[in-house]
Amino acid sequence: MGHIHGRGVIIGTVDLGGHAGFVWAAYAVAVTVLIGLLCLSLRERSVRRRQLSELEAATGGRRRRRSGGTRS
Amino acid sequence: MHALANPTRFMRLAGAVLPWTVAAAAVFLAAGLWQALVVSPPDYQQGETVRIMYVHVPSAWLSMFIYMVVAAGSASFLIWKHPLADVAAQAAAPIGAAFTAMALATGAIWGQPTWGTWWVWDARLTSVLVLLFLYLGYIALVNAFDDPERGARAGAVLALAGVINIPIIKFSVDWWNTLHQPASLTRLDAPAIHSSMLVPLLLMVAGLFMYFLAVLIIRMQSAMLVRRSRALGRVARGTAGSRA
Repeated sequence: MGHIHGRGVIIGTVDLGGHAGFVWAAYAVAVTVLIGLLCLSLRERSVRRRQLSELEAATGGRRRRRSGGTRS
Repeated sequence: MHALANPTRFMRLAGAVLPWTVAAAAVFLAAGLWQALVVSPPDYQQGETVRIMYVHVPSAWLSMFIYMVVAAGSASFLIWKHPLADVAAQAAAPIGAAFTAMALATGAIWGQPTWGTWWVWDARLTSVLVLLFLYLGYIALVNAFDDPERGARAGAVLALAGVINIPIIKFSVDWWNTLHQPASLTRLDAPAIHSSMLVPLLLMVAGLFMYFLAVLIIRMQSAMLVRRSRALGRVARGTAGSRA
């Protein structure tokens, strides 16, 4: 069993014996992949949102200018 | 189901579901990690290295499940031309590739103390490596065409052809003499795993499945934004062309 040193608090050192390096390496790989993919996906969504809003502003602005021109 | 094929309706529902999937992923993963690293016992043969199972096995299962999602989306796109099916397939593929890479890496790290080697070209490991190449090939192919529709069709055909690899992965440990152990949980009789290890394993599976759903929704939202931008760009170009 992994042992928590301390008095039952969640933050502590988990003692995994002589193969601790392998266990921590596997969890580090998993956390890196999961957080990396999440961050990339969130960044891509925000970039796409910004691109769309810029495009909407540009095309909307052109339409407004055109409609303004016909009114004057 | 048919109502969900409407992109606008689906994205409204997906936006509402997203916070719940994120919360469920966080809860299941927190509970699963606590159980996996602290509560569950060491294995009588493998000792503490058995804890690698709690990230390796769920990522391997999800790598195959997500491929089936990609294949189902591809089939739906080719047969019924559902606009969302292609979006879902393309959004799921990078997540599947990430889970496959995670399964291979954690498996190699587990293999060294257990088998005395990082890698061996046995049927299970090789077929999972082929799965990673299928994901990467699919992603490369759908992005290789100027016309997104052609890329989607070519990718969908590749995804469907690659489905043959899924039963090969699953049954490789039964069909061939492999270093990889046979199935412990997905057996027709009772699982060959004690409940003290089964509970953290299932919690991690649930957590990573919810993580997959959350990232899938985020990536589908991105893809829908790209499609709206493309449509808007076409309209703008058409307006400019008609004026010229």
